[in-house]
Amino acid sequence: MTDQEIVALAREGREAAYRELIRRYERPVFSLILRMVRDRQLAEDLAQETFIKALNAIASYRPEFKFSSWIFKIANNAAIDQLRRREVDTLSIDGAPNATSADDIEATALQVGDKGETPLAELEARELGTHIERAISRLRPEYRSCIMLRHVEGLAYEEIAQLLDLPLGTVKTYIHRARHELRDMLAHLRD
Amino acid sequence: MAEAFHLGPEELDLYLDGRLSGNRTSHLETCEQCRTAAEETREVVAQLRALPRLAPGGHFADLIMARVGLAGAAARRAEEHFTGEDLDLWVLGTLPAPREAHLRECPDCQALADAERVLVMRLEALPLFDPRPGFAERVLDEVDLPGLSLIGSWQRWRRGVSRNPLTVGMAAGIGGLLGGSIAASVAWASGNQDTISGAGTWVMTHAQALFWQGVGTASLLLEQQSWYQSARAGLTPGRIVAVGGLAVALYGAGVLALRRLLALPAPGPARALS
Ligand SMILES: [Zn+2]
Ligand SMILES: [Zn+2]
Repeated sequence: MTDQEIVALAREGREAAYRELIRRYERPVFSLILRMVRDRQLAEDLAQETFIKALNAIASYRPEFKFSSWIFKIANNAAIDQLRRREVDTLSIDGAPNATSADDIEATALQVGDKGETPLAELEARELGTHIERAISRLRPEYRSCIMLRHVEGLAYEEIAQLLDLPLGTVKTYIHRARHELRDMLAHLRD
Repeated sequence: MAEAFHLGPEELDLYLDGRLSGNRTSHLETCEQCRTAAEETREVVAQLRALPRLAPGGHFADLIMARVGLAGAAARRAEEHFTGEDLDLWVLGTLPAPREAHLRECPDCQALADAERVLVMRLEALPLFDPRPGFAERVLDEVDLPGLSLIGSWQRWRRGVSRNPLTVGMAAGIGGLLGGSIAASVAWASGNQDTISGAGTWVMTHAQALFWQGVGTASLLLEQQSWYQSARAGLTPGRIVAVGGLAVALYGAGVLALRRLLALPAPGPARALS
């Protein structure tokens, strides 16, 4: 069944259709938000908020858009809003702002383990602690959402442009620059 | 202590990139476990690299877009270094021939393209995370299913009613009683104008007692209905007030309409006035 068919059933009030939409998108939406805010509890709350908002507004959803674009748009807005509200970026997890050499990054980033000794924090550190995850977290939020929508969620450039309300050229530039920065960061960490 | 020196995932990446240091490479030559891991990783990488070409999927539109109008531009740029756009095409495996030619000649762009491909591969291999179990329940707790809206519960109620003969009977009974009582009270009132003023108070008290008794019985019957719980979940104080108001208004309108219909032509004085 396509997303559109399931949305049609959801509009008739079929609970099973709601469950299927959640089942299909809980992991992608949660992963996108988790990589944006890098806090499991916060990501959990925002993902929940995203689905509640989307499903309560299912009557106003315009079927000419993909359901996936629509829910990713809500999720991304929730994450970006949160980052703006906090203005506490991910640097506490990923090293001091001025950590430029690989050693600095490692040294400052490893303080995570000292801060939270809960099993959850450890799990988080392991999940998001690989070089590539840390490199992603150091990208500007706009770059970060573009790169994840493109390469983790597998969306086309046009879809990303549509859901972020950005010109296609801007999206391409963001993604190319993001990959450039990631290449540099990862090369740095390897040497 | 040899195990402590097995190759980590990052080192396997370096090895596949051909950038693993000499002494680590020599470990690989002596350690069967690491050799197997390296071979398996190489296999996975090869499969991942083959993927976009076999199944363009979400990138299909990009692929078409990239080809449109690119042939001319590509020829012009045969001598230029790679741009982000070129790297996209390279990753997708659709680099036009003149750019391929540049890539063969230019070691800088080769290094760039390799790093880009490995990066994209690693991004695409990133795992998805699961929210805590029970996510769907937590979401649905906060979602108003259309079935619980006013229209939805009315539809659900009607479906429930038409399936249940007892409810159909009860609804018919309530309807008959209501209609009958309206008609009776109007008929009686129009025939007994004099008595009303005198017996008004007595009738009112007894009618009230009867009314509340009726409400009590009806609500007991109501609670036994299968659709009652679901309908109740959709009832907020606001809706109860709205429904109550609507019922009173309908009852009043019914009384007025019937009085009009049953009203006899007014005698003498009224006609003189007209
Ligand atoms: Zn080994
Ligand atoms: Zn070049």
